[in-house]
Amino acid sequence: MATKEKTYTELKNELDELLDWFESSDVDVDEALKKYDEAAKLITELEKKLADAELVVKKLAKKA
Amino acid sequence: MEGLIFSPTDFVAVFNQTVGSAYPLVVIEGEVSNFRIAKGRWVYFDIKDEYSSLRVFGTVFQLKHAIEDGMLVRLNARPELHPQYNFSLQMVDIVPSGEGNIKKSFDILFAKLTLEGLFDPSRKRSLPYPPSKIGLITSNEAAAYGDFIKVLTARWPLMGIDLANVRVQGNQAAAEIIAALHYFNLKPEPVEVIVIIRGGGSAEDLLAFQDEHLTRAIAESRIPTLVAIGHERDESLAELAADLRASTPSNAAELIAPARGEVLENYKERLLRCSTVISSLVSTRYADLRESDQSLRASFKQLILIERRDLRRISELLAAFNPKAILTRGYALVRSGDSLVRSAKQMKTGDEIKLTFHDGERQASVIG
Repeated sequence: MATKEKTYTELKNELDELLDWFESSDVDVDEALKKYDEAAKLITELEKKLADAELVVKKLAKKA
Repeated sequence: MEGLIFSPTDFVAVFNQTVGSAYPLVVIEGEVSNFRIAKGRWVYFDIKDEYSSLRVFGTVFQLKHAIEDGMLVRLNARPELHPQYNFSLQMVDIVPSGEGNIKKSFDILFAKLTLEGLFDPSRKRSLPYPPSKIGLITSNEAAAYGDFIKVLTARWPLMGIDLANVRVQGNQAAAEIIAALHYFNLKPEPVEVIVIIRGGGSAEDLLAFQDEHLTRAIAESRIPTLVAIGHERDESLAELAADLRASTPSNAAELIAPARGEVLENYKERLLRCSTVISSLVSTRYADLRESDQSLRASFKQLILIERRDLRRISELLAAFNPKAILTRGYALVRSGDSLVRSAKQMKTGDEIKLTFHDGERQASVIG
C-alpha cells in the first residue's frame, strides 16, 4: 500500500519541530548532524512543492 | 233612416273591431305637431299633412329617438276609437323619416346624452388585446359578417367567437341587439369583448343604431364594446357610446386581432433583444471571472513568494545550527568507538580514535 504523500503544511510542521529542537539548549552533536540533514531534505521537498504548485497555476492560466 | 242602428258604445265596439281586423297596425308618415310629454310619462301629439291631422297617444318608453314639432316621422300605431276621447292612434313605434330629420333627431339626442356624460372619453375602457373570446352581435346573412370573419380568421384564427344572430335593420333590430347585449353580459362564461357590426346603408337603414335605448345599453355594458357600422362619414350614437369604434367591420377585425406575421416578427425582435442581453451578461460574467482568476493567481503567487522567503529564512537559520559549519573553522570531532569524546580524561595512551573534519574523517592513536 503506497504511503500517502505528505502535504506542504505537514512537511512545514515537521521542519518547525526540527528548528524548535535546534533552538532547545540540550543539543547532541550526532543528533544535530542527523536532524540537520533531515531539515535540509525537508526544505528541498518544500521548495519542490512550491515549484510544482507554481507550474500548475501557470498551466491553468494558459488554458484560461 | 235605413240600415243598422247602433248605440254609441256598440258603434265604438264595431268600429274598433272592423278597423282592428282590417288594419291592426298602420304605418303613417306625417309631420309632428303639438308634441308634448305629460307627467314625464305620457306622450301626446298630432300627425298631419296638408289636409288632415290625427291625434296620437303613447308612452315615453316607446320613444327611442328624439321627436319634436315639425319633424317628419314614420309612425307605427294601432288605430282606436275611444269611448270618450274619440279617435286616436295608439303609438307602437316612431322613427324620424328622411335624412334631414334623422340628422336632427341625432343632434338632439347627441346633445342630451353628451350632457349626461355618456360619450365621455373618461368612460372608455381599453380592450384586451387580443381577446381570447368575443361576443359578436350581427346578422350572419350580412356581408359585414363575412368580411369581419374573413379578416379575423386570416389575422388571428385562435380567437373564439360567440355569435348572437340578430336583425340589424328595421323596427325590431334595436330590441334584438339590446337583448343580445344582455345575453353576453349575463352569460356565466363571459366573453372579453362585445363586437357589434353592420355594413353600410342609408340613414334609414342604420336608424337602429341611433336608438336611445340601444345607445344606453352599449354604454352600460359591463363587457367592453367595439362597434363598427359600415359608414365612414357619419357617426351613430351606438358607435359613440362604445368603448372603441371602427370605421368598417373589417377595420373592427383589424383592431382586435393582431396579424400573425406581425406577432411572429415581434417575437423574433424580442428574442433578438433577449439574446443581446444574454451575451452582454455572459461577457460581463466572463470578464468578472477573468478578473477573479487573475486576482486568484496574483494571491497565489504572493503566497508562494511568502513561503519561499520563509524557507530561505529557515535555511539561513538552519545553517547557523549546522554542526559541520563549526568544523570549517578548524575544529574536529573526536570519537572513540561510537561515542563522542568530550574530555581528554576519556582517553588514554594507545586508544584508537576517529577524527571528523568538515571535509572527511581520519583514524588516529593517542600517543600520550
